[in-house]
Amino acid sequence: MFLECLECGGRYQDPQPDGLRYYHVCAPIVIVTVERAGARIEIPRRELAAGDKPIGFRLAPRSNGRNENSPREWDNERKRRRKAGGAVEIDPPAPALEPFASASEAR
Amino acid sequence: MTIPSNEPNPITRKVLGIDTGAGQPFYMTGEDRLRIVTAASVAGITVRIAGRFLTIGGELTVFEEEQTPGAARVPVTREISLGDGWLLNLEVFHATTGAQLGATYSSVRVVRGGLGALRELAALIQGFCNFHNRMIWPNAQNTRSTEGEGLYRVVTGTNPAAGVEVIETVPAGAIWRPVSLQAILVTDATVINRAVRFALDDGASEYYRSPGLANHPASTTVTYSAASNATIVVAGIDTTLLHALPQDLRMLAGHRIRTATANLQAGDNWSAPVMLIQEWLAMDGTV
Repeated sequence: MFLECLECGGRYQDPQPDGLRYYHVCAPIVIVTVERAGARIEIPRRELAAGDKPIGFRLAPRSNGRNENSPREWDNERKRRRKAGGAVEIDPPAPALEPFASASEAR
Repeated sequence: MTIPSNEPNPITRKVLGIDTGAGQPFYMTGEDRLRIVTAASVAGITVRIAGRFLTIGGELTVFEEEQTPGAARVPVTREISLGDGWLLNLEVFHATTGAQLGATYSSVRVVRGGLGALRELAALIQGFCNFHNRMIWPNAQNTRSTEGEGLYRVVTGTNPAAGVEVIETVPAGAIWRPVSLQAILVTDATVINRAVRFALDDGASEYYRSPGLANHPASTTVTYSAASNATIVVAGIDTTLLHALPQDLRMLAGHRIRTATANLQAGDNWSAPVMLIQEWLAMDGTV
């Protein structure tokens, strides 16, 4: 079964082809410190604009990030959490893109 | 317990080795029970515990119980009351074929008392088993849950949304050793060089980062691999770059392996990472 996380948009397969369960954890967001119009501010990476001067970045947990790892809960509890609106079943994804045979073919 | 030398039952004398000095039976009273604790990382496995028991009256009995742990790596327990007598032998194995050695970890203990006042008195056997590889007592060869080769498996991780890094978290109850990892980055048309690194952290503090090997320009697809004990390769004729991971690394539950891409743009897209890992059961839950 393939699933898409409604929080981070990540897509994953559970159970895995070898039969083991997969416990999705939302990826953290990247907060970038930039100089913009003479001021130093922190913004999510997706909000970077032309002219911003990046100084550094840090990882920050998502405010509503999902973590399907429940250290001492049973599988039915994990399923209950999904049913509560965390993820939806989707079609299997298309195969990953093949890279170009050589760098020159990319241009 | 001292076995009286004038024990009249000839079977008892023979089995217990009173005359020959042989045998390793384990004496149990009616208050003692066998407690079997098992954790699994694969669903659908039934663990079977079987053995022979000689009662105080000289009757040879057999017992066979089953236990079905879930796949969440949480230890489950089952107790068997055998009565007053001697445990002669015991074996633990999977009821059916198909599972790799390392998918379950079991231990058999002797306990007394009830919930809240349980006393563990002896550990008879602990280790890995499957249908063909059995845990046996006596002559047990006990192993810790973190010993041995573990379970080799291929994990296909989360395919992140555009503009998001690859990040995989070691699940609860597991210990991972990443052997190799592969993911593909497709950059969008934004003209800026990206640089990919692999990083390891414990969920908060980063403890390893590989160096960026080459610029990754716009509108380009490159395959990135990372492997333990690898020699860093910056290839001039191929679109595959190889990073090194620490050798013989053990990552605990909650630790993360991820990409760290300088100048990652909103339209850049990482594929789902595919990882070959060795996994052990941490057996860190309370039972």
